[in-house]
Amino acid sequence: MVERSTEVMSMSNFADVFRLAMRNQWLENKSNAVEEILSLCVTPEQKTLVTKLIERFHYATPNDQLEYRRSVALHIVETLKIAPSNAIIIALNDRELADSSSSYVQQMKGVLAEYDGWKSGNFVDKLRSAVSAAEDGKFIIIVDDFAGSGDTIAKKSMWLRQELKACGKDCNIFVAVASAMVSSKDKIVPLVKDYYAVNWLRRGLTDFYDGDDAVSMSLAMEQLEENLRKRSNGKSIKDYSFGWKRSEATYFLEGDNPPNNNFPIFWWPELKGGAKRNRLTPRI
Amino acid sequence: MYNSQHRIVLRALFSERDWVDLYRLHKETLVAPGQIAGLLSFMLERKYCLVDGLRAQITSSGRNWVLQNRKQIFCKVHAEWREGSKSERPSILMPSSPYLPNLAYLDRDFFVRKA
Repeated sequence: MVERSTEVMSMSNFADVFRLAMRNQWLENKSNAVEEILSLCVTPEQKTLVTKLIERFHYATPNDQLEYRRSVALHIVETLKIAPSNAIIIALNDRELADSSSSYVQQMKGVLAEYDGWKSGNFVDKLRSAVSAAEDGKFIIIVDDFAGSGDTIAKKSMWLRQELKACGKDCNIFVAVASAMVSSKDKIVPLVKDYYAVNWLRRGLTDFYDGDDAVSMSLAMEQLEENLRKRSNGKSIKDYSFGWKRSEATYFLEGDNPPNNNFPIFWWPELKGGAKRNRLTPRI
Repeated sequence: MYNSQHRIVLRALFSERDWVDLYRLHKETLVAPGQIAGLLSFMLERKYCLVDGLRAQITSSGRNWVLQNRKQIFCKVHAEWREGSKSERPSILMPSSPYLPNLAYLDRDFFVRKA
């Protein structure tokens, strides 16, 4: 059922939601969620910031995601010129819980099947299995749908390098992802042979404002985050302020679980006082 | 498939010779601005309407389109509320299956006691 407005909006909020939705089709069914965020804004700076951040969202449909996977496959085959006989495609998942990286490896099978020579043995969906699957001289390609701060990929790449070295295996490690924050390059580039992303995303605030504007917009976001409950679902807002590791991401894949690198104003579950939110990019 | 909110907006646009105040429409019907925007974006691409700020007006080609597609827009309605949730639906009985009472509820001694 397509939701109607739960109550009459102010003309100002109606106008803002309408204008945003005219320019950003993905907001068609998100009027109430956008209005909720706008209602938290008490200063013009907060409202300007929120509307600009929503406009900056990198939104991808399932079709877009398929094209991204095709681009990752093309990069592996045509740019890096890695032959299937030398390649292992791996996920960074090393836990029992469901993780998007494992499913991404599975999805890469479909697009790499369009090229000759790729087999099931080329794909490993758990990090630990990659060490035993790797052979001396092989190319290990880490794939994923999104890299935020770069911490996860950096930490696990470092672990992989150490484990391979301990086994006496010499392998080059590559990273190829659908979308990544530009700011993640600093952490990942020193550790791998090549770091590729189909879409390089900028931080939603720091990379768009400087000087006095940067100060006032940062203050505006801090004030907005004051509306959020300090702890929710076992998480503290302090750890996620401006997105995990202050990634300042604005990223949404239709039908997918959005990353915690997004500004929490878009996905934090509760307001101060415990009221449940109607969230723009809800996540588990 | 057009939803009920699209139909409300299209009815309003078709009914007016002049501009339609979209905010007034929202106030009267709680049609969500996102839904209005989705429909108008579709119509704008095809030059079926004009949009100026918070008002919209159907064009003559838009009127023709609504007329030609009125059955599909207004009559092909998917009423989700008719189906209800799966948990609410009773299990389907075969027409030939007999009705069997729960014998434990029967007062077998009724006639003995009342005789």
